[in-house]
Amino acid sequence: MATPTAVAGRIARPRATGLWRDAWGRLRKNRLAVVGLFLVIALVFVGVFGPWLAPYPYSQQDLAAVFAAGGGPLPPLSPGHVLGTDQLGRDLLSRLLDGARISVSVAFVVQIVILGIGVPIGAIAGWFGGRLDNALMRFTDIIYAFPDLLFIILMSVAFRETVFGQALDGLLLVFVAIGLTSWVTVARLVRGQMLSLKETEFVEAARAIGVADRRIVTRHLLPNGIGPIIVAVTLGIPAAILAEATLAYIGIGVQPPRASWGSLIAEGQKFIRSEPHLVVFPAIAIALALVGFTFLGDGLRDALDPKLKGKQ
Amino acid sequence: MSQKRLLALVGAVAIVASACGGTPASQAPASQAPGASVAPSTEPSAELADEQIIRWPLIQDPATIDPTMAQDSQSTAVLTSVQRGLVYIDKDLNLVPGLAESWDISPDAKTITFHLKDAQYSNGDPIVAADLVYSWKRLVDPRTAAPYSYVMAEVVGGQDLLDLAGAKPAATDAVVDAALEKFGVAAPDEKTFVVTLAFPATYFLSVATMWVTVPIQEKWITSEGATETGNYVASGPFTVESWDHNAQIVLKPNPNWYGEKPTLTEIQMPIFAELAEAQRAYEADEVDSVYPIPDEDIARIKDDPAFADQYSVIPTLGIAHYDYNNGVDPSGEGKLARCPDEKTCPTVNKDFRIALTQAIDKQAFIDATFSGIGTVANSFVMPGLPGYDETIDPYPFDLTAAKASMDKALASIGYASAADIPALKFGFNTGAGHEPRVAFLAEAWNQAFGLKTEQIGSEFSVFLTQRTAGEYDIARDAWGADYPHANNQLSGNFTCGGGNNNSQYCNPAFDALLLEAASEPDATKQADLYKQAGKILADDAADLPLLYRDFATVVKTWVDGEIVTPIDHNNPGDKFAETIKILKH
Amino acid sequence: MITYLARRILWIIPVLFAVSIITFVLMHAVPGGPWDAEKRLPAGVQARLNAEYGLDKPLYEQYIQWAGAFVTGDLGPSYRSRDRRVNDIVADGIATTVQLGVMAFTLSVVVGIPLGIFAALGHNRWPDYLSTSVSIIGIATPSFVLAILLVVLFAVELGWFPTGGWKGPQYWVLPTVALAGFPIAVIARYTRASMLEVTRKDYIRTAQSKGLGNTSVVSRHMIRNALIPVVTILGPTLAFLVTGSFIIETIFSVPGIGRFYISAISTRDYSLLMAMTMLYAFAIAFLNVVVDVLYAYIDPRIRYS
Repeated sequence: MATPTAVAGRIARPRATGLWRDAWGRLRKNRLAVVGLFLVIALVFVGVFGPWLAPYPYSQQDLAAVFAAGGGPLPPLSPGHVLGTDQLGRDLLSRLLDGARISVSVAFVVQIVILGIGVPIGAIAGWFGGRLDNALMRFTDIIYAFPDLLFIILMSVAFRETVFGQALDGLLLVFVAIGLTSWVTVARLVRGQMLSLKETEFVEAARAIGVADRRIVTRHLLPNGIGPIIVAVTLGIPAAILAEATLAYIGIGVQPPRASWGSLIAEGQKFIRSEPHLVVFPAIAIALALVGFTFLGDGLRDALDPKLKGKQ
Repeated sequence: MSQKRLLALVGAVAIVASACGGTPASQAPASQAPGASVAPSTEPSAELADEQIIRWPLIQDPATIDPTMAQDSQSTAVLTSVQRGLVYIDKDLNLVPGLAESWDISPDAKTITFHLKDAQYSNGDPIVAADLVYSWKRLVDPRTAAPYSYVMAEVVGGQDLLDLAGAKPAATDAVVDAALEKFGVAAPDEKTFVVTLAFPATYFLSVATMWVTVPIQEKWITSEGATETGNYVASGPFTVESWDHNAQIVLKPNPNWYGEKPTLTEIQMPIFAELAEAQRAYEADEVDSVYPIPDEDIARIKDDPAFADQYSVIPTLGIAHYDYNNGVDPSGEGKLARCPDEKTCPTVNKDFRIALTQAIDKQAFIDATFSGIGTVANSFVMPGLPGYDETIDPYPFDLTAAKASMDKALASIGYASAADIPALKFGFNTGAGHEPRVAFLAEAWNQAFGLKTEQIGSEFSVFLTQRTAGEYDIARDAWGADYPHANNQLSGNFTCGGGNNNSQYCNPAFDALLLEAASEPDATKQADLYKQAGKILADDAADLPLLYRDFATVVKTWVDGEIVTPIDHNNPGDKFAETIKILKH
Repeated sequence: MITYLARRILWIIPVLFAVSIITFVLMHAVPGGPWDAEKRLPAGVQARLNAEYGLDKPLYEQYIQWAGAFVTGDLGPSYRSRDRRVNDIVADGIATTVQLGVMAFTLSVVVGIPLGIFAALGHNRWPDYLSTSVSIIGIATPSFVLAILLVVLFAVELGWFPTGGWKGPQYWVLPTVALAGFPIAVIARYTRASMLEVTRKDYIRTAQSKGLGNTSVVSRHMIRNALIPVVTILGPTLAFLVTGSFIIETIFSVPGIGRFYISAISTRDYSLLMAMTMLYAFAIAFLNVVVDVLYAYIDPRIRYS
């Protein structure tokens, strides 16, 4: 004979695993999401194994080939250079593959910083309300009101020549600066979800039976509010990649001779009328990454919403 | 192109020759236009357009059009059409009378007496010698803190006033006023302006062409909003009609201009945020010329037949070079703190610098990273300047010699191989197209010696701060002449503790030669002294000269008579607007 | 509600104070100074200028001096344009920047929200895919790439619009579109996600089961509720558009103040930089309050006390 708790546990357990299994099932049926998942996996794979896949080291020049062709960047499908080269004969494919590492790390590191700060602050403020909410929200007001790009640029310039500024080819500083200025939106979103959800019936019911606050927040409110958070993170990844590209455009970020997709675009767009491949391929690379994350995020969003169950 | 280069040299030498002649400069036209690019002119009989309006782009709002305070190229681009100095450089690079009818130079070449023309400002007031006294004193007055005050250093009392600027505690008004009393400018009558110099006037007439030395009316410049729309008082052929900040400046002919009335009825100067955009506007027929065209567009345009009758290349008085860290403290005395020995800073070793120099194929560098525009440079004094010596080339590109020099350097420094040297700090500023150039050099040294470099791209101001402090082993650098003379070229850049000594270089023999040259009244002997000085620099491999820069320009075919000379590199804008005509199109 | 509003608006003052201190310190921590140039100014001239602008004083004194002038409305002299006041520079360009931002915002909302609703109503069918494709393009193209593409195609090649400037409506089109590309996509995505969330809510099903017509349900309940999360991003979006136009203003040579946002940093024009920071911080903080008020208005369950 099972005790009531054991029964509850037995019922609860399959339900929990079922949620994720169902979600996976729904995700698989969503063609766009599968495309997105495939693109993200491919991106991560390239990001990890890029240096072994690249035909040349990213900084290797082939001036002989450039001069033999009469000077100037080699066009795509040149012998030995599928995507062509820049004016120094550096292989564009190899540089893109190295850039994938940077984009992958931008995507994940910045989002981790954002979630790590934004979700707890938003959840605590939204759930507890009152003075704590007030204090946290006033704090976010300051961060929020701070012109973010100004902060990132000032940080990047001020600490450029320090050990911290040189770490990871200059990227760590940029990641941290982007993360520090970007979490407020997520915090506000989470708080907004909390405010809407905490007066719903199921929360009141949970409170009535004496479930601890923390448990309600982590087990009920956050999962129920996860849709918008996933959408925010999904859009946050492209935002972080674009932020890095924007910084690269104004000359801040990865240390040469390495180049991120952003800085390749920034450099290549100057030659858009004469050497379009220098901007087209990096732009396609970024677009694929962004499309991948967006499709996947969308699919996850639809798949993870428990209330959608049985509707399709 | 090399012919143009040579002609430019001839032209600039002519400046100095006439500067020392002691007679009014010749107005006879030179047989050829030296180095100047004349806008492709169609048949002379071509019909004029109904609207005589030219559109010249400015890149960013000029910081000021107060002649005394201006320093950047966009400010001078406006000033050269609206202000005129005592002396003027014509399109053949001859020194010709400007507001001065003529001038006399005393036998010791230390006193210049200018005789002014009967000329008026745009507001109808006469241009008098007292305005020049006011203008020159205003320029050198430490309270003005004018960027180009240093060109007054050669005038009697000028150096004292310049020294007062940095005095601690700050000089009192009484002290400054007393020093200004002793300043060597005077106006014995309304039409005579006398300058007394501390050094022989070998090049001072060139200074009298600069925008900072034009006459200024005190009652105008001290009035509220003097340089804003409607208030401007011009001494040149045009005046400022309106200034819509960050959008457009419009110039109209100066009704009281003493010379021939210009054909142009209006100069529109739309203000762009960056050069690339001015180029796009040109190609969309929104502006009539671009100088210089952006580096990234040169390759596309120079081979495009559609631009064949619009495109030309103009030599400049500018050089692109890279600094080696020679290890002397920026004060000029003692070692740089971060360079206690050659092991820490290998570039302090002369053979090491020679090896680096010999490993660079400069022509390949120009072809790969400057679209082939420019001429190989081996010495810091450029063609067109007295003191240029084309025979200087102590360390030509030669990989075998480079390896030998490197071996010698390594043995002396104490490394087994170049690969053992910790990565050299190679500094440059980002966002200005230097990245491929730095990569080219770094790769060349890596290929030749296995030498590692850490490429440090920084924001411009940060880069400048670090470069000045000697924080880099190798750093990007560039120089453009303010006026065509070797003194301007060499003194601040390589003298011990010099203000622009970015190579942390110090050689007493070099300094002594410059000092001797500065007080040499004979131009030929002086040029020879500068040649010797230039040779010391090159032999020491003090820096890495790479190329004398050329600028490319495009001008619409319907613009007749727009001329850009090598001087425009640093003092752009004087495109001889008063002679331009717009043809029917 | 009134006291709440007053308190929130008053709170902007300490926010600006905190932002100004952080910026001031960070700005002066950045190496270099306003007189830096490839050709260095003589040391004496630099010293004189430093004294003239008070840069030789301790940092806290400089801050007090700045803050004292700021509260009286004096933004100080520009370091780059030595005969201009920052007040004049800001006054010259602010209307243009606000106009560009508001036009782009209007375009984003007018296109983005309907696109999102359209997608949600046709969930997993062609309207969804179409809308998703449009927003993917918006998200996947950095604004400077979009801007360059637009200017090369429509200004240089086709000649339909001028390449830059701000002299009339035909000059407004390309910068507005280039600036709005990204927010259109963001707003469409948020609207779509929010709409889908709401369609599953019980009250919608209740309304449907009570026999309310589809149109009525959509308009009265769904859109209103779906717009709640959307409103939270409209504030940031407007702030982003008004304060984030620097690249667009640069590429199209728009004579606004947006491009000073970056150029003031690189020229170390301290007074201009502080003015820009204060202006932007105020704009963002104020819009934030507006959003919260709208939030309460749209969602009656949220009460402020």
